Amino acid sequence: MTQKKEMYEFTDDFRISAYALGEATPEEAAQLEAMIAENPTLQDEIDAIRGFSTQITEALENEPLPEKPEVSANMPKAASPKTVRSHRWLTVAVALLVVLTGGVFLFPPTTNYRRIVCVEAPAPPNFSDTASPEKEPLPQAPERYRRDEAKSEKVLADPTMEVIPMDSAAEMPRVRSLPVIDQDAMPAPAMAQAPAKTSSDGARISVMKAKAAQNDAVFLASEGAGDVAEKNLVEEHMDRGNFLPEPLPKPESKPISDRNSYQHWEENKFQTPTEAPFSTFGVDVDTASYSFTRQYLAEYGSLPNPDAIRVEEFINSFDYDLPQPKPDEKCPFATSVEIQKHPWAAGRYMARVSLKGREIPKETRPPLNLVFLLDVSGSMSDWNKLPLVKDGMMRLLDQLGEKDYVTIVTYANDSGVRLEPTCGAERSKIEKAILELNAGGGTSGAAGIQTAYQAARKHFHKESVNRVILCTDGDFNIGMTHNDELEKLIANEAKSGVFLTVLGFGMGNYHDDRLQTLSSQGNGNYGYVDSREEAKRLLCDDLCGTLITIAKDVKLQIEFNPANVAAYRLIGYENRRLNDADFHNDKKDSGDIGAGHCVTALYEIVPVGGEIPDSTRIDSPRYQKTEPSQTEPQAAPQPAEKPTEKTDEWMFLKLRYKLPNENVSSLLEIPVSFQPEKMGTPSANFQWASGVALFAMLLRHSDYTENATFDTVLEQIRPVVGDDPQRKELEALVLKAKEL
Amino acid sequence: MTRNSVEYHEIRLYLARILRDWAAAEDLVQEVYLKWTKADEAEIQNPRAWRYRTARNLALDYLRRQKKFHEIQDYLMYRTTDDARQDATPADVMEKKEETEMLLLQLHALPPRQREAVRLKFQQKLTYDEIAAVMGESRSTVGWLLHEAIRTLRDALKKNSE
Repeated sequence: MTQKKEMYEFTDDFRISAYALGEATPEEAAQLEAMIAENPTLQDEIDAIRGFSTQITEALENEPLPEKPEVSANMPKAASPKTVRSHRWLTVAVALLVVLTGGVFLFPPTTNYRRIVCVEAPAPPNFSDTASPEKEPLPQAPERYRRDEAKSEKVLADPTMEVIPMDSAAEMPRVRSLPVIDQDAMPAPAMAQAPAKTSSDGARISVMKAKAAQNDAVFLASEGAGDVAEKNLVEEHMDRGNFLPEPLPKPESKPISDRNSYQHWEENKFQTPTEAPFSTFGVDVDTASYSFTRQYLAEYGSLPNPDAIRVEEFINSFDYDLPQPKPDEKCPFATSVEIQKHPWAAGRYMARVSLKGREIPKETRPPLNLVFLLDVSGSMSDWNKLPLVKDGMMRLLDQLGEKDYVTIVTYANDSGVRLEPTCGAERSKIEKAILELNAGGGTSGAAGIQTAYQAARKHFHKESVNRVILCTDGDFNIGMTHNDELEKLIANEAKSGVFLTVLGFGMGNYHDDRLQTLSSQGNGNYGYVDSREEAKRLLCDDLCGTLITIAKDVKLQIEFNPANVAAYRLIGYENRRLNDADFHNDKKDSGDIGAGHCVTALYEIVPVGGEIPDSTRIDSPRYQKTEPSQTEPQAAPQPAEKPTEKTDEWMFLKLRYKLPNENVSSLLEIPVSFQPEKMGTPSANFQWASGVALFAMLLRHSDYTENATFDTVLEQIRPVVGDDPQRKELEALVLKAKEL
Repeated sequence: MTRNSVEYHEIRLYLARILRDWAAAEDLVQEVYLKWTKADEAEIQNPRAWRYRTARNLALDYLRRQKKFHEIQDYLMYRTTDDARQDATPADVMEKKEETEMLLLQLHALPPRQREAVRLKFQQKLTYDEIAAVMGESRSTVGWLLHEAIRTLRDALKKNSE
């Protein structure tokens, strides 16, 4: 294939062949006809394609078929079940064993444990759909269990399978059979227990965990079955969600849904300061969720899986006009807090807590030592993947100078260093290497990431920005088959100064959860590149923000004053929550802030006297000595130096951060006073952030949107759109989402 | 939806190619239609694509359960099982229709998704939208895959005839 300088010009326009094959849409047909009018030789090309189409059709029709059995269809079947069944027995036994012993390790009780779970997009809604009688196997399930205890593999088979006497009765428990198993009873009883109805949320999590256990079980069980390649194939296929619940849910309305995997996080609920005085979480400037959603809506015209929506990433994808930290201040970011009337819920307030990072002008930035670690497997050959990577890299190249170094390492079937660390001044050499990059081959690379880190070491300088930039579509296997090993390597390297940024590309095999974890371990950020504009933004306009970390492991702990606050709810950051004790623990990794970045967190606040929405509210214990009585809200136990007479204090902010080359954190403490009667008008930043948050919450089917609709979002954001093209883009997205 | 319908046979053939086992194909195609009877038709935009997609997923599930990893890879690689051909000498190959052989060989050398798209379009005669639904890709990706595949195959033919 010839090299193309202009990566994006569709001289190879797929519409030409679509038109030739009679598959063009009316708009495309019109465009093609115009093109033919301009360039009559195009018609020859089209005719040639049509001729070829006949040729290939014929060739495929003449393709040899597998041999048809001459005996009746029943005989071959009779032969296979026995051998297969005994094989399956062993597998199931092993799976059970693994589940029983693995149960302890799979479900540790810590709240900040992140379980990577593969979720197919349609699965959650289905559980509330299973009420319809013809699809409801649950009543039958218990009986089946009891009747058929000897054949545990059939226990979990869907009853519809019984009709066909074949071996494809589910060996692995189908998702539907497990929907409401109590998490603690997960191991053996899971197989024989009659499912009891719990809330659908609980069901979802149990299912996901059960499924994760099963996935693990299959994975481990199959370990004996073959070599690494096979194992990865199974994992790959499971990750791709080929393992679907029945019935097959609407595949054509969400064509790519079952290949992406997202973590599922329960939305934050309202909490009272008495039962949970502290809200602790790590900051996050990742923006992937917003890019991803934008791309999804634009390309597929439908809404993405709610699990792919992270509200905080939506909020943080935009620029906010906030004051910078003063140049002589040690702390590299400036904190601002604002409390205003809640935009869509009467009787409540909303607090905006923002951290604005110090900007580093491009002229004074430190030298860059960058290693691009590129996935060049076959799946990256799509137009929205490797070509976009190359485009981004070319733009970055424009920014580099003689103090900067670039290395390119690829991984796929043959991984290796494609460009040795090269000074930024040797532009043509780097350009050549970029242009020669080609995708192809399988995804089993070896030692790609280690090579990348080694390359980074070659020109490592304390004052430089030393960073590995991983570009992938998520479908990767870079020499380490277990997540933990990989995470350890990344974390270790980050400790010694080589950070990791992860850029995701393309849809379909996109393992969002895994990529986010890796970048977090690597003290870097995680972005999703869906277009040239985004590539430009991340690698050119916002270069310093993307590549220069100004503060790492940034944690927030906010204490609410029960004298004023009856309940609070953090919007978003569900997967960034930390244990309260982790706040002061410097060993606990957290998010990072890049130069010029702004991080915003929003809290919904119910004032004392207001109504607390959740029905999960717990009464104060009657018998606990330290707890107050049930009827009167009292101060939570507080240290002596913060008396509750300060009745105009609503929140107490504590921030911990580390400078990039430090390993000990610094603490910032900020009391926040608020007098509702002296409340000002909401700032533009507040209005925008809250509008965006509402939009994301609606997309996520949040329980807390009250009566708000997309129109409410528009009302909120329209006054502050201004000229910013990014904001205008969001407005367009809201309009689009509204139509769906 | 009946045993005698054209689509039934098409899907059975499609499965047979993937599974390389007619008996299993027979079982699975019945299952596809059984699932179809239980599916909520009002919610399915393209029944044909739905059935193909179901068939494809059942086939992959089946292969995985049978631990036929090689078949899974082959499905993605779509190798043929014609033993006679494997034993064929170059001379034999020459004697057969050269271009057809050439095309099929080139087809096997295509990246997996292009290959699958070509099969679904030219062998199973699905539309772009149906292929998109079956493969789990966007329509534009399917268009691109086919465009690239056609170009590669045509180039290979041209080179061969030179």
